Amino acid sequence: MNELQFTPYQIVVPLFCLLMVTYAWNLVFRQKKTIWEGGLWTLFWAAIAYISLFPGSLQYLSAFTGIKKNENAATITALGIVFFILFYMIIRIEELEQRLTAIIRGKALKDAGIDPVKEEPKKM
Amino acid sequence: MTKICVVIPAYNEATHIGAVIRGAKRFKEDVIVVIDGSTDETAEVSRQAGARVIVHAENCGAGAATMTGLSAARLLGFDAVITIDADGQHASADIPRLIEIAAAEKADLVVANRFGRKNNIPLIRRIANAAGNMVTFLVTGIYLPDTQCGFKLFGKRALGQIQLRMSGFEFCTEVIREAARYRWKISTMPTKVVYSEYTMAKGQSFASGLKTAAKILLRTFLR
Repeated sequence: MNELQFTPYQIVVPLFCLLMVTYAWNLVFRQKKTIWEGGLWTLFWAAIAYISLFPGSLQYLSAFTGIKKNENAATITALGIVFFILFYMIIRIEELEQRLTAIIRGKALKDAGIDPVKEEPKKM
Repeated sequence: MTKICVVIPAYNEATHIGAVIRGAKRFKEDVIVVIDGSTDETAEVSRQAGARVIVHAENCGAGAATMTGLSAARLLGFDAVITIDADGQHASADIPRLIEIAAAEKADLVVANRFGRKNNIPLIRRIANAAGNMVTFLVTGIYLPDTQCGFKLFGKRALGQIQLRMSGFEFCTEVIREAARYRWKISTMPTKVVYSEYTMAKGQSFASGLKTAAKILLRTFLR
């Protein structure tokens, strides 16, 4: 009988994925994400966990994308990192824009004689 | 009795805003116009037409202007808000029907549907709206026939809870996301729409539509 043997990687990654899924659903229950978003993130992390548990499944991806050599994989990984940095920077710029907008909105309300300090979304 | 006001976000709409305010005032006395960094006479025309005017010092986008209007309505003690575009594309005569539907169906959010009745809508706008509906469905799980319409009614619960973070046109999708988040009851109402060269020039272009879709997806998945 074949004995299941896991590498440390195959234990750590699925546990991390489980943690991330728990975190996503925690945000759903705290109403910071919708159920739909929770579902999408669950699918994403489940896919990562599946790949870590069954690395052979990537052979289908390799056949589909044509990435067969290590050099190609390294290029794709580097591109992925560059895209991630770009996304991160866009998000940071967006956050700065939001802060600026909040200041302009607050000032507009104040100038109109409406006190924005009183405003707080209601829990209903 | 429910206190309802009309909120109109406006950017350089001096030529049309007066008529839009007068049209809204036929049905609701309280009209708030949020001037979003306009460089023309929009503020003066709005004041002359009898609206309460709130001025953004800089152009922040339709979403930010709408949120300022909603905040103002909330702070001024209104129970519900009707939002309408400043370019005159919506029929203010549909305002009573919007209120009727909200009351009859106990809806927290009523979204006007420009595709629910016979309207002369350009093909490019139909395609852009279909794409907007698909992106909205992808990020919220809710499908509506016209998610990008600016003619809406926010009921008491929606007005109390909504907190828009997106500043540009992507706020239309964020409104539906808020509806999904707080599980608001959503209704739709077929409405008349008038597209002219002016409204076509003021609306979203194909390129800005793509940018909007990218922003929504990015914000949704990296949140």
